[in-house]
Amino acid sequence: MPHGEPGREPILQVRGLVKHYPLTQGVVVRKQVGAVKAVDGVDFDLYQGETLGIVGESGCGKSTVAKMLVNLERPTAGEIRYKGEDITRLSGRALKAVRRNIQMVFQDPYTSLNPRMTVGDIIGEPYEIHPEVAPKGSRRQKVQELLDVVGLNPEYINRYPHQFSGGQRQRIGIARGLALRPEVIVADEPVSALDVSVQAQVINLLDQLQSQFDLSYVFIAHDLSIVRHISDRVGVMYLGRIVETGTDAEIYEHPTHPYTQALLSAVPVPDPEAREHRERIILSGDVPSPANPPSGCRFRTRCWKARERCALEVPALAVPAEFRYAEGPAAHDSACHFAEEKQVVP
Amino acid sequence: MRQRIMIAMAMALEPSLIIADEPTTALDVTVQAQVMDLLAELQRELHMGLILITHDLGVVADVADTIAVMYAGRIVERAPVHEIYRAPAHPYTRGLLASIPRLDQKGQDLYAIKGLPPNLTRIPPGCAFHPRCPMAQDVCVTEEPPLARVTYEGLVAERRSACHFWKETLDASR
Ligand SMILES: Nc1ncnc2c1ncn2[C@@H]1O[C@H](COP(=O)(O)OP(=O)(O)OP(=O)(O)O)[C@@H](O)[C@H]1O
Ligand code: SF4
Ligand code: SF4
Ligand SMILES: [Mg+2]
Repeated sequence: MPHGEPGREPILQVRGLVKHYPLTQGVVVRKQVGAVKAVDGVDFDLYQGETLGIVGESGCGKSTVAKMLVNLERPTAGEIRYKGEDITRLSGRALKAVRRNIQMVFQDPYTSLNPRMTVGDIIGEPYEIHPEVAPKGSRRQKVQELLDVVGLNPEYINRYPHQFSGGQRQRIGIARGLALRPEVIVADEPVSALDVSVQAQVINLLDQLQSQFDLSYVFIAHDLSIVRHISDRVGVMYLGRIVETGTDAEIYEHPTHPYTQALLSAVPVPDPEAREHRERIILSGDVPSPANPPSGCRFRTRCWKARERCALEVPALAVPAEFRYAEGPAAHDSACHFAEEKQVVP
Repeated sequence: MRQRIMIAMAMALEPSLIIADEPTTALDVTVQAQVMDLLAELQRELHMGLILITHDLGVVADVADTIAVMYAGRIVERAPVHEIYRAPAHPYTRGLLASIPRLDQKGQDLYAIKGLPPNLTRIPPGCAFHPRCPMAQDVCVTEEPPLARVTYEGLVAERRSACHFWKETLDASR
């Protein structure tokens, strides 16, 4: 099981989460011919007040996990327990009450805000569904407070999204995410679409809001240095599954899964001095299709350590046997039959 | 895969210079490494020049010999790769490098360049970076800085910076 902090209940527990999108053929008679296994058995815990970073390359299923957490997609199987209660089974009023507490911040501030709505209407829209949080008369003031909280001028309440820059729009998206006073924020690539010079501003804002409102974050991003900066723990995804989880130091300094090692070694570091003495693991081949993932370990078609066992047995996400009784940073969850430490970051 | 086909098509003409405009996205780190590796190998074999356009300061540090930094339509700094990462001579470059998260900054605020990139139809007068620059003086508002030659002991290759105060910036960076 994931580590986490002793004595604290996880606020979210995700177990065996699966999302398969049916692949159909035929126009008149639609027949299911297979499934895109976008997410195929994901487990993790999120503790109160912490940030769990989720990293992985394009198409590995990060956004699909995010959408299931905020109930924009229904899981094919698995559980999402919020404070112990499986929210995938809820409906009606009970579901609505829980949804309020888990909100999302989207990647693209250019397409995720309705261009015909004013900023005030965008941020206040969640109150239409949850009027109990802000009675009609108090909404304008609440929205202005939120604008202030995210560092925007409260007087901009009547402006439209196109009057703002990318970074400011992302602040609007964050304000909307905060409107219902959630406990959990799922941020899916919140800075990837922003100018590099503006990303740091938004990261700092997210950091500050976390302490101000005791928020728990699931922070999805492909930028490994930003994820390390903001995360307490990190999960690495490959082809629909989490292959390794641990604290940021465990993952970045003591990775034991070959995919994590390859990923870390492939990140370009902004230091030309590191060029000569860095070992690069260049993987061969492409990521297989999630409609037809390899048997056993999904990474085996690109793994330089793959052996027969890797094709036959699915490696479980657990502390590998060789580290189980050892103390130290290598003893964290890693889904590999032949896990071993390898230092890859200079 | 598509990237590799594009590269193969470009190479078929045996060019002496190849311009790669954001050839990879950072969304795919391991694929990016494959593509950059391929480009570097071809470049070695065919002795061709490479102009690599990217916003990723990691990618340039990995492959470039010389770096030109652009801001609001102009080159504001040009230098050999090792020199620029060791000590930037333009406040914009300095800000960009400072805003990359570093290990020893965990739990602290990241350095952030204030403000926003300018609207290209309303580029500020003088130095276009002055509204965001922590070192700006009066002269920066009125006079556009030329891409001046940067010199110091030990520098062998040509290095340039479009900042009235490149010396001060360089000293502050060291
Ligand atoms: N509605 C859908 N129908 C069919 N397939 C889908 C659907 N949504 C996503 N997929 C597929 O599921 C896989 C996972 O997609 P997802 O968007 O979760 O990946 P991601 O990790 O967020 O990628 P990125 O880094 O590019 O955002 C992909 O192969 C994608 O093509
Ligand atoms: S289980 Fe086998 S194929 Fe999978 S990562 Fe480990 S060694 Fe590689
Ligand atoms: S010229 Fe002035 S405003 Fe421009 S970068 Fe240099 S110090 Fe800053
Ligand atoms: Mg995504």
